[in-house]
Amino acid sequence: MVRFGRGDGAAFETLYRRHEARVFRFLLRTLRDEAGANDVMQDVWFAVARGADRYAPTAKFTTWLFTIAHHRMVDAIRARRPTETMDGSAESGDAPVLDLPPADARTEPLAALQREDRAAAILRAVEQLPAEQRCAFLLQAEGEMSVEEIAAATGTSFETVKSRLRYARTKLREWLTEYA
Amino acid sequence: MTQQSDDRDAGTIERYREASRREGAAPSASTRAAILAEGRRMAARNSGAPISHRFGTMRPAANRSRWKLIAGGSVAFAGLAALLVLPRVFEPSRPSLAGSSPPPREVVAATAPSARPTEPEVPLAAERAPLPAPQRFASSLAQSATAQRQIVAAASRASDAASDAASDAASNAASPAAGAAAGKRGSSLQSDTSLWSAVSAGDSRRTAALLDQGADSRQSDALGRTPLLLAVMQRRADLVRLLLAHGADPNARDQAGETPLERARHDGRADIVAMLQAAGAH
Repeated sequence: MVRFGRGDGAAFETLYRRHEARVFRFLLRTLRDEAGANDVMQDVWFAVARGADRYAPTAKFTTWLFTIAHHRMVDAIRARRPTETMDGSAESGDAPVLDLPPADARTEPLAALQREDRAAAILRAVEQLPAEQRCAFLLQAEGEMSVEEIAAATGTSFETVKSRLRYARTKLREWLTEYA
Repeated sequence: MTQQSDDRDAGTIERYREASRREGAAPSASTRAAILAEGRRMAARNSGAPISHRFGTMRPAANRSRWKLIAGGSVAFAGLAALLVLPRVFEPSRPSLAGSSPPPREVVAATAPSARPTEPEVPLAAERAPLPAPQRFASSLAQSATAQRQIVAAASRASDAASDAASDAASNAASPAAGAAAGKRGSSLQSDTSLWSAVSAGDSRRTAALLDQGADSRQSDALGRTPLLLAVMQRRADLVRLLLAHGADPNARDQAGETPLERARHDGRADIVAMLQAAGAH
């Protein structure tokens, strides 16, 4: 990143190729919309390219990158439908953008698990997690961020993030155990 | 209990990561192209150089650095010439020695100090009748002609040197001999970093000159990228061929674990893939 900040275009390409897949997977699984994920992906990397001078080499690059990705993802959800959450439910008052999903019999995780193979099952299971838990889990799994870093990136408390991660992993374990 | 829970959590995350990687989700080609183009644009901006200079996708319409240097050199030359000529015009006591006088003192001192004692004595100004101003001017011009020629040559050399060092495009335009001379001028140009820089600029002449001088093609930068990987990233088959011919390692990986062959395949460059495989890439 420092080299890119000094004008090394090849360094940016290396950086992009190294992190491309993880950032895209994070966006795809949080937005659950491929076209939207592509739009936000572009938005995120444009922000990285234009903000190279603001990057502090002391910060972990992935933390900085995924913090931008999280912010842009939330912005995209807000811009898409100001009155809806990312799960399609109506947003009332000052409810968080990433709200819990409504129960949907058609996408019941267990049903999905029974239809799909094991590898695909865990992906579907992650997608069925409540949005806030899913987001925290993905920041940890794809962004390799610590609880503190996730708390800072999402603007929530350490304990809240810890709790979301615990619920997410417990739920995934339960679903996968039932599937196995 | 806690240890078991942590292990299970780590297992869940690892299973997710493996499944996620296997799924192979990737952004569209147009998204990727737009991002990389923006990266190149911003890199050029960060470096302060014109876009075309940085990435060689097209030749510059005009080498701005070069013409600025030439213009600056011309102005400097005009100033020096004026400093030499004007005092002779407005100084009546200077002798008029067109055709027989030695070169100006400054030039003689710089070029042939040992010849000075044998030069003929310059007649005193008082022994000659002063010439009218126009004739003095013409005489002064003739007198300083030698000095001017030497100044022109020096200014031209300085301008060329500055141009070569300042711009990759300038070195592209220079002859191979000039490129080799540029390589000899500064020790930094003989370093491996310079080879990396030449490849980064897409400058095949400078790359060839540096390799001929023995630059190590196996050295890598802070990201672990060798000049060969960089040439592949730039899709420059000519540079790839050149580097392989000089012993570049076709299997060297960068810090991200990528080899030149993987990159060439990713970019769909069958010609570069064939070259790398012929050189032993696997």
